[in-house]
Formats: sequence, structure tokens, C-alpha cells
Amino acid sequence: MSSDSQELNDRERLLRFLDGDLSHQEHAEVENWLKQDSRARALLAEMAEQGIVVADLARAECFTAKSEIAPKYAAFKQLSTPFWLGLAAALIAILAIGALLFPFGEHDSIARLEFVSPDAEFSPNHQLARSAGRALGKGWVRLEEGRLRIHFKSGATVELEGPAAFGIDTPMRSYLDFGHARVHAPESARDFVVATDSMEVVDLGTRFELAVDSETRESNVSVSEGLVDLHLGSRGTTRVIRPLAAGFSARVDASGDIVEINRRDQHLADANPRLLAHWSFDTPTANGGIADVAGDQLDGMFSMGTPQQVPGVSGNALKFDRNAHVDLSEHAERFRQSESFTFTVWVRDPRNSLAMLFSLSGETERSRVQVHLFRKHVVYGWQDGLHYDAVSGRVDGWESGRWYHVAVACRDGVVRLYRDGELIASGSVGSKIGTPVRNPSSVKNATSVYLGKLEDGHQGEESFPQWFEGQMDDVQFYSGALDEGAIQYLYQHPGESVP
Amino acid sequence: MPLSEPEILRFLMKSRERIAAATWLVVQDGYVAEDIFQNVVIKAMTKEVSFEAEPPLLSWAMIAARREGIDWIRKHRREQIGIDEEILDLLVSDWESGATPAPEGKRVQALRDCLEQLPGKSRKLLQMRYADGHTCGEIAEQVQAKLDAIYKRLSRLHAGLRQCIETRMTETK
Repeated sequence: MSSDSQELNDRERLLRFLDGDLSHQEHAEVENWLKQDSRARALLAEMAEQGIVVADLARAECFTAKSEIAPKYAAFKQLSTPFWLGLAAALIAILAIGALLFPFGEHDSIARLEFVSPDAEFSPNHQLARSAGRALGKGWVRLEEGRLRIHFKSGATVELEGPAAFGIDTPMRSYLDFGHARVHAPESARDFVVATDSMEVVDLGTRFELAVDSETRESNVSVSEGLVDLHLGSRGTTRVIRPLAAGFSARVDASGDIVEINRRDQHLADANPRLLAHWSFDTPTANGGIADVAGDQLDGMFSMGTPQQVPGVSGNALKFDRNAHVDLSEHAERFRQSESFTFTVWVRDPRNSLAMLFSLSGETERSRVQVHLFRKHVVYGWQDGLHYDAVSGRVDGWESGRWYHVAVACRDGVVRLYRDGELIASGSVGSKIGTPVRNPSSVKNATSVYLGKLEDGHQGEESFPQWFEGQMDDVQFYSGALDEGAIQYLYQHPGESVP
Repeated sequence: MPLSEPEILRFLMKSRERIAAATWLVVQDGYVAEDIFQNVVIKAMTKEVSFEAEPPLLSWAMIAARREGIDWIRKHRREQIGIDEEILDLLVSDWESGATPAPEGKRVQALRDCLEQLPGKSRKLLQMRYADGHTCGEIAEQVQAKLDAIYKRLSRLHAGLRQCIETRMTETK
């Protein structure tokens, strides 16, 4: 193939990628290609560049007739760049006049002070006014003990609990060095920011609490209403945005990594998780039957005749070649009932870059949940209509010939991913487009359940199945989420289930 | 010494295409990307955010624009397939390192000139896909063409435009 036709093919592939016109596997392959190949990214960047210049020309009316622009945007789109420059200049002028009339300085009012508890006491190095009702300008509030409330001009309020050090920067921006703050930002203060050393919490019209430990610099954000965006990473670095919804809290370490996500006021693990199925692969039958040794008789059927056994991490394991899978579809309804669940498996030598471990799908792949490995990641994914989203945890790779224990536990909208007993990721929303974690009970008309396969029927018409090539041993499925201790027990006791 | 308001404005306008292009990758609608850029400019001018230098300002603007883009998708295009944030970060760092030419200055002017030379039908097709945010499937339906033909036509248009830009950039050197 000539380089020109290769380039045309690559461009077409990217167009299909942007349109969502690829199977899940093809989509993942393009994502991987974009991550690895700067040339692919350059092609994508060209599309973006053309998109904004084409829009610019259309708006300037030298490109197309006005009537061709969508009516709801028409008036707005026709505003030219000089208009916006003029508007921005006018804003500067207004700000400049405002600055002349109300000069900024130490005594300028950004916020006002209110005492919540009578025992509130400031530290000796407190920089600002100390009396209730007094205006606060830019500077540090250093509270030794007790509680006080700061009313920002933007409408945001911050209740501080001592000991705390809180910086007031602007009506829309503040800084918590350490201590505990409760924040409420009404719509007028949408985008109000409370920054810490390792992140910025951007309030999208909500209530949240933020605590920063003075020694470890670890932060804890807990959202009680609405939504916040966490801009993770220290100042000057490229930040990653993660949304956090009401009912969830996140623990963020000093370097800006999310260590844990929890559902507030609830436990992540169930008190009495129940082993629903255990496929040990120790004694598959000659006709391809895969026995559930847990006793519920959720037996499966191997797709390639007599299963090929290999020595496992405990007893025997099952070897999966391309196109091989264990079909559990006759029990689909049993799996679908699992609002909270744990899936655990031992894997060795996953050979394909996208190695599908478990999937539960509806009549098409448009409604599904799945567990797979993607190169150096363990992934829990879900699809609702055209929307695919996932929480993934990065690992150091898959050493040849070594058995690894992989576990996924999900409860109350929080999924936790483990490898070899260690938590590698947790999340309440997907990292792709920020949709809430879905569980098997959300799969509509569940009909297909497989180990080692996803029937990825593209728009329900063609089929592009995804496979697992490698070895699996002691797959277990629990109704209920196991806690970390139980998952470590499974890692340390291959072949056993949680007592 | 923080950047003054005119300095913030001048720098953001200089980086306009870069910020809007990064936003386009999130929303895939040229008009919306431009609107979001304007919102970011207004926010930078009115929200009293202070910046010590241009790089943190650009980083802030990119994040603010991306977040507005994600917000917009949440409200208007729930079905849209999102681009992995890691890819977006890599694209931005490609522009910063020069591995991919950033959309600014002479390059954008060359692209404008090339676009203006295109036949009306080609311009219309580009506008439908990149500015109006229609998928190729929707365009195929509207213009009553086969989906594959639309993909191929757009791919050729891209390749042609790149060649045109390169020629113009060489001519103006």
C-alpha cells in the first residue's frame, strides 16, 4: 500500500473513531494507536484545526450563507473576532474604571467574617480583620480553634474549623493550606475554587467539604450536593480533571493522585457477600461442561469441545485459545440481579492486547458491563447506548509464565479494581466521559454472559467478538462486594473461596 | 508580578486557535468550541484569576475550556463518544513541544486561504462535519450519499488541505 493511500485509510479510521462508528475493539485499538503514535495525533489535530477555522470562516459569512447556520446559533455565530476583541476591551475598561473608583488594596472587601462558635480564636500570625462583620481582603485566615464562616462577595460561603489556614485570593478563588472547610457555592458562585497543594476543587454550584492534613498533605473531598470537578496535580503541571458527584468522597494524596473513592455514609463492602459461583476448572467434563463447584449449579459450556487443561495456580486451569470461551448465558438473569458484586480470577499470559475476561450483555453490546485487561491496565467497563465508559487501573505489565490475581468489586456506584490483592484503582464515574459506574442490574434484557468473550455486535448488525487468549483459573463471582481483606485472602489462598 | 489584563487578553487571543482546537476535540463542533473559548476569555478577565506567567495561563485556559466542553457534552450530547483524556493531554504536549505544528499564525492563515479556494460542495461538507458537528452518518443521510463515500471524500479533503497548507507555508518562507 502506498504511503498516500495509507494516509487516507488512517484519516478515514480517525473519522470513524470520532463518529463512534467503530466496534469496541476497533475503538480501543485506535485509542492505543493515538497514545503511541504522534503521527496519528497530528492527523487528529489537523481535523480539530480545520474544525475551528471552518467555523470561523462560516461565521464571517465568507464561507456560507447565513441561512445555512443552525437558527439557534445564527445570531451568535455571526459575531466576528473583532466584536469579541471589542467586548473584551470594553470589559477591561469597565474593570479599569472599577479599579480606579474602588482601588484594590489590603482593605478591599473580598469577603466578610462571621463567628459560628464563640470559642473561635485566631493564631498570632493571622493576617486579616478579627471582628465579626468586618471586610476581609486578600490574605490568610489562621484559625487556632473554633469555627467561623467567611462570606465571599461572589455568594460562596466557607465555614472553617480550627486549626486551619485558609487563603483568600479573590471572590472566586481561595486556598486551604490545612484544616477543614465546608463550602457552599450557589449558582452565582459557580466555578468557585478551593485550591490545595495537590489539586483544585472547582464547585459547580453545590456543597462540599474539604479537609487537608497539615503533615501528610493528604486531602479529603466529600460532596453532599451537586457536582465538583477535581483538577488533580500540583500547580504548573498538566492537570487531570475528575468529576465527583453528590454522595461521594475522594481521598487525594500529596502528589494529586486519587487514593480512594468512597460512597459517603455507606460501606463499600457488603456485610455478608455470598459466593454465587466458583469455576475451578479442576475437572471439566469431556463434553465441554464447566462445573460450578460453589453448589448453585451455575455450570457453563466450553465453546471448543473438550476443554484444554493446564497446571493452574491451584489444581488445573483452563487454556483459552482465540474463539474459545465459557458460555454462561443460561444463567444471565442470576448475574443481572447483582447490584453489588465481586468478580475474581487468576490469569496467566494474556496474549491479546485487549483480553476480555468477563462480559454480561443485553440483546446487543449497547447495554453491557465487562471486565478486561488492556495492555497494562485492568478495566471495568460499561456501555449504555452509544456511551462507553470505564474505570481502569494501571499495572506494571504481565510477566510471562506468572499467575496474577485480578479482582473487581462494585457496590453503591463505586467500583474498586485490585491486582494481587492490592487496590489499583477505584471510581464512581468513568474516566472517559464521566458517567456513573453501572452494575449488572443496569443491563437491559441480559442475554449473554461469557468468560473470555464479548459478543460485540456493531449496532446489532455485524459481530466483532473480543476474546481472551491465555489461561484462567479459579474464577469466582460473589453476590456482594468483598472488602480488601477478603480479596487479599483470595490472593494468598489460591483455589479457596472467602470463608 | 502577575500578568496584567491586557497581557492576559493578548496572550489568549494569540493562543485562540490552539485553545479552540483542543476544545473541538472534546465537543467536535467548531461553533461550540469557539463559544467556549470566548467564555474562557471572559472568565479570565472577570473572575480575577491571577497568573504569574503565560504557561500557567495557557494551562489554566486549556483546562477551563476542556471542563466547559465536558460540561457541554453532559448537557447536549449524552451519546457522544468521549476521547480519552490521556490522548488530549498528549495532543496538547505535542503542540507545546512542536512535535505537531500548533494551529496559529501563518499556518492558520494558510489554512484559511486553502479553504477559501475549495469548491462550494467541499466547503459545505467540511462545514457540516467540523463546524456544525454532524456525524458522517448524518451528513450521508442529508446529502443522500453513501456513508463510505462521505468518509473517503472527507479523508481526501484533509489530505488535500494539508498539501495546500504545506505549499503555502513553503511559498511564504
